[in-house]
Amino acid sequence: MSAAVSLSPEPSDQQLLARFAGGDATALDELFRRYRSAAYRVAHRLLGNEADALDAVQEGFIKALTHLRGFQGRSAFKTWLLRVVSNAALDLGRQRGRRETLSLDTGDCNNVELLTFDPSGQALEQADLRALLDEALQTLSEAQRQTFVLYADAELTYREIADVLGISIGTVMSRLHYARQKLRAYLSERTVS
Amino acid sequence: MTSTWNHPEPDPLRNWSSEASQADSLPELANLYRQHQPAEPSERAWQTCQMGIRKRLALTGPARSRLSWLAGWFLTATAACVAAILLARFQLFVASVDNEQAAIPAIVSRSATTDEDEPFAVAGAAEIHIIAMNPQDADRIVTGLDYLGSFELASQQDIEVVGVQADPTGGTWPRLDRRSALPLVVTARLDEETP
Repeated sequence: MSAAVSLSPEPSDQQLLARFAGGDATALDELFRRYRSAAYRVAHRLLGNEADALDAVQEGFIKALTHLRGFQGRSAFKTWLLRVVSNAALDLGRQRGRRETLSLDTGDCNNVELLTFDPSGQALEQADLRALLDEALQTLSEAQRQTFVLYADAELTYREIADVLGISIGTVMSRLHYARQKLRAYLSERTVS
Repeated sequence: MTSTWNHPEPDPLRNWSSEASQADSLPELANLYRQHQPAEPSERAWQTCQMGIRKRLALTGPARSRLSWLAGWFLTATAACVAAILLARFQLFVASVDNEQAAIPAIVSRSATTDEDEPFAVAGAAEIHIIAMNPQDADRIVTGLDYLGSFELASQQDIEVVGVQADPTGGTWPRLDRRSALPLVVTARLDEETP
């Protein structure tokens, strides 16, 4: 006789939010586990170091969950959360000075890879390339950078970005268009064929 | 075992031309960024972050007491009253200044919005019905949102305009020779990319 195994489906975000509103702390843990990586990628790209990115993630989760009335369920919770996290990251970046945190001379957590033993040098090259990509992002305006990061790192659609930032799809397209032009120009200048 | 630490000189002009060339296409550029994302924080760092959220939500979370809501409303109402008084006083002051300086021409400041934030005109497929087209404009067709997924772009070299025929209902139709089975989605020439 085989034992019947009931596989309960994962609760939806809406169900978790309802449970959280009812005081269930485990719902918060599940939401955090689901979206912490996406939120961190966006925050890190906008801030350039792990400590500040984690602060922005923390701030973003708190603001998103304490202002759920602004969410209204019109978009996915992930979209709403990434909006709040990216805004929190930009605020934090303004407060702390983005350029300082990006400096390769500082003790940035990302540059730990530079001290890793790697006979092939591949890890070093990857770290350098990532630093170059981050530098290129600094050539963009804040609005372009936020739009591009939501597109590239958060993998939101044009429509979702438009909803997140409260702008038209045409403006999303125009920001991405000019962002790509600037990034291409920067990367082309700093590479050799 | 003896090993040497790999510590080459940082070279900003490293041979990353293949990576840089991915910036020619937005999806490829985005993919390049996705492939070079930062390492995840340690589990301990995540736990610290999560505990911080829990602690702060315990203080400011949604299950606030009725008393704190009342206090919030009271503070908001007080702030609104103060703001209204200040605004009224400011408007009275501005009105008096305006009366004194009525003869001075106004200086109009432009919006801080930059040209780069000018939205592209976007229309849905349902809003467009192409009834005729000048063959010279064949390279100016821009895709709409429905095509923003994965698709191939045909360049000018892929398409030849073999003639233009009159449409019985008016206008003309270009007759195009597509040299392959590419969809008729034409990319602008690079030197004309800036709208």
